[in-house]
Amino acid sequence: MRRPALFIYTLAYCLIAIVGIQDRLEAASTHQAKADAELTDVNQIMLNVENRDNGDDMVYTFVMTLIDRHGSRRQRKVKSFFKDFGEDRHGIIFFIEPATLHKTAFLTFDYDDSQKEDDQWIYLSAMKKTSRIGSADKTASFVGSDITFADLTDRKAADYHHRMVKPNAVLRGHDTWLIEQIPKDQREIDKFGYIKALHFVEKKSYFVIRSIFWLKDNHRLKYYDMYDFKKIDGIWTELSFSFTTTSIDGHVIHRTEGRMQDITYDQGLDPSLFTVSQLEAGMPPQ
Amino acid sequence: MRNGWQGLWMAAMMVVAQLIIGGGPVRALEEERDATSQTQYDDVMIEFGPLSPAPDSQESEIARLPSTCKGSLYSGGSFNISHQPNAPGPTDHRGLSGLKVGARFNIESQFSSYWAFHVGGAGCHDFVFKIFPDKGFTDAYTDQNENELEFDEVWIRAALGRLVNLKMGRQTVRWGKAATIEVLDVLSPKDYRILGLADIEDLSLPVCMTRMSLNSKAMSLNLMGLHEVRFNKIPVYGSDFYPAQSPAPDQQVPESNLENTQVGISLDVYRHQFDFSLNGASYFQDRMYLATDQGTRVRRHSRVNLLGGSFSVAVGSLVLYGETAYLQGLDFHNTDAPKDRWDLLAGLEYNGIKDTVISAEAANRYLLKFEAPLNASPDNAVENEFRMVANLKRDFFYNTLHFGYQLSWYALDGSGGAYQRFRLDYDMTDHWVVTGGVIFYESGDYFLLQNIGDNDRLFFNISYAF
Repeated sequence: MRRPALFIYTLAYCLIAIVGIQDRLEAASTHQAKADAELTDVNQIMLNVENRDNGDDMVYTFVMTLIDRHGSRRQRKVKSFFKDFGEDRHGIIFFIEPATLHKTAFLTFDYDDSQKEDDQWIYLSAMKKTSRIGSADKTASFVGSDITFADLTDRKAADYHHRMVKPNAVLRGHDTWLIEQIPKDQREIDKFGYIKALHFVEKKSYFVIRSIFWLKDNHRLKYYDMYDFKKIDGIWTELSFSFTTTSIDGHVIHRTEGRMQDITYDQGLDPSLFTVSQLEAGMPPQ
Repeated sequence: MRNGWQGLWMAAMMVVAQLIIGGGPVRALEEERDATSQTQYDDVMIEFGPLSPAPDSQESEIARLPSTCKGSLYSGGSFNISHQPNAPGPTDHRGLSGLKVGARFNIESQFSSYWAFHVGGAGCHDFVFKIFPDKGFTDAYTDQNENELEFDEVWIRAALGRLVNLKMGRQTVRWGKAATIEVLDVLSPKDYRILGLADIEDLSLPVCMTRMSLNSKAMSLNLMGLHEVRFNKIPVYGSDFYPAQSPAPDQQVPESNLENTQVGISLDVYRHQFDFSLNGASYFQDRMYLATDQGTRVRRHSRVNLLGGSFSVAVGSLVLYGETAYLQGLDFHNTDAPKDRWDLLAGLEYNGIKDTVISAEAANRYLLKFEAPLNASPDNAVENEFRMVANLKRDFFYNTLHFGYQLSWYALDGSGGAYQRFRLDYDMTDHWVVTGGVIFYESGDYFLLQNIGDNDRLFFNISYAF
C-alpha cells in the first residue's frame, strides 16, 4: 500500500510527524525516560509514514528543467508507472525528452526488505538493447539533474537519528516541524552521500516542504523545496519542487526544477506492464 | 579558555534555574540544545525564489499523441593522421577520409494497446568523394560509401492477448549480455566498415523477420523466422581496412526465399539479481569462405546451427556476465570437412564509482578439430581466436560532458592486433551534441588486422536531434 515517491522517494522519510511530545513540565527524574519515549515515537511515526496508504499504483508525467550556473536550461521529461506488489514496489520509467533519450526506459523492482538489493534493467534505445545494471553509486546524478539515485531510493528511518529542532516553524505560510536527521553510521553516509539533513515537515499533510542536505564529498549543500501540493484522489500529492545545489557559502551551482503532470492513482495497472518485454516495447498508449 | 568558562557557568546557571522552575536538568540541556540549533542553522536558510514559468503546456499534449516522429541531422567525418605518402594500395587515404552529412528518422504510432507500427530510415552523402576526386577511390569503395539511403526498422506489432506479441517487418534482434564482442548476437548484422566504431551507437542492421513473443513477468520466449538474408557491412576493396591488395571474388548472397529462411529461438528468464537466456538458431554465418562455382571463385556463407546461452548476475555495483555458443557447420576452403566452433565470453561492468562505468569483456573462439592448412590463405583461420576489450566511461558537469576510453586487443598477448579509442561527447543543448575523438591502431598477426597500423584517425560529429 505504499505509494512510490514522486522522484523524491527518500524525502518520504522526512515526512516526520512529531506527535506525543511529552509534557515538558514533568519532574526531573522522569526526563531521561521521556526523551527515550520521544525518540521512540519519532521512529514509530516515521515507520507509519513509510507504510502509509498512498495508493496501490500511480502514473504521472514528470518534467525536469536543469539550470546551470550560467542560466542554460535543459529539459527532461519522463512518464512513470509504479505499482505495489505486496510490500514491494515495481516501477517503469519511459523517457520522452530529450530526443537523444527518447524511448530509453528504466525498470526497477524495489524490495521492502532492505537486505534485498533492487533489481534494475535499462533499455538503451540507441543500442536497442536491454541490460541489467548494478546498484550504481547512489550519490551520482540522475540524468544530469541535482537529484541523485539516493533521492530515488528507499531508506529506512531506523538508520537515522532524528531530533526536533523547532516544533513550530513557519515556512512560506505553512506550519511545520523542523527536524534534524543524521545517519547513524558511515555506511549510510557513504551510501546516500550526506552527513546531515534538516527537514521542514508541513503539519497538515506531513509533507516535507523543504530539506537541506549537507553533502559529504564536496562541501556543498543541496536544498529541496516543494512549492505546490494538493490532494488528488484523496492522496496528498506534490506538484512542483526544486533541488538546488549550492556551495557552502550559498552560491548556486546547479538547480533542477520539477513539475508533476497527469497524476492518477489506483488505475489497476496491469502487472505485465512491469516487465523487460514492456521495457523494450516502449510506453503503452494512454 | 574564557569561552569555556563562560559556557560552563551558563550551563550551571541554567540547571539551577530549571531546578527552581521545575523543569529539571535534562530539560534544561534539551532546550539549550534546541536554542543552539536554531541559531546554528540560520546561516543556511536561503530562499531561492519561485520556480521558473512552466514549460509550454503543449508539451504534455504532444506526449499524448499516438504518433511520434524522432530523428536527427548530422555531419561528421574522419581525418587520417598516420598514412605515409607512399602508402600501398590504389587509394590515397591521407588526411580527410570522410565528410558526411546525413539524416535519420523514426516514426512510430500506437493505435491502441494492440497495434503499433514503426517506419525508420536513414540516408547520408559523403562529400569526400567530390572534394578529392584524385585520391583514387575504387568503384567498390565509392559505391559502398558515397551515398547511402535505406529503410531502417519498418514493422507492425500486434498484441494477441495479454501475453503474446507478434512483430512483423524489418527489425533488430539483440541477443546476449555483452556490449562490445558478439558471441550470441548473431541474427542482426552490424556495420563493421571502420574497426573500433561499431559499439559507439546503434550500428545493428535490421532484418526482415516475423517474431512471436510469449511474455510473462519472469520470462520471455521468442520465436523468429528471418525472411531476409543480410550480412555485415565490411570493408571493401579500396578501404584502408581492406586487408588484401586485390579485389575479393564475388560474394554469393543466398536468395531471400522460403528455403533460406533463417530461424531463431530464445528463452530469457529474469530472476532476482540473476538473468539467463537459452538460444538456438539456424542461420547464414557472416564470415565467408572461398569456393568454386562453375569454374569461378566466389565467397560463400555457411549455413550454421547455433546452440548457446548467456547469464548476468548483479553483485552490488558489479554485474558479471557470460555467453557461450556452439556453432556447427563452418565451411572452409582448405578442408572438406565442416568444422564446429565453441565461443566463450566473460565480462563485467562496475558502476560503483560516481558517474563512472568500468567494463571489460574477453572472448575466445575455439575451432574444434583444427587442421594446419586452415592457417594458410585463403582461410587464414586460427585455432583459438582471442579478443579482449576494456572500457572506461565517465560523465562530467551534470552529464553534459562524456568521456570514453576503449582498449581492444586480439590474441592473448596482443599480437593479433589492437586499437585504442578516446572519445568526448558534449551536450551543448538538449538537441545539439558535438563528438570528437581519436583511434590508434596497431597491426597484428590476424589476417584482417595485418595492415591497420597506419589507419590512426581523428573522428568528429555534430548532430541535431529532434
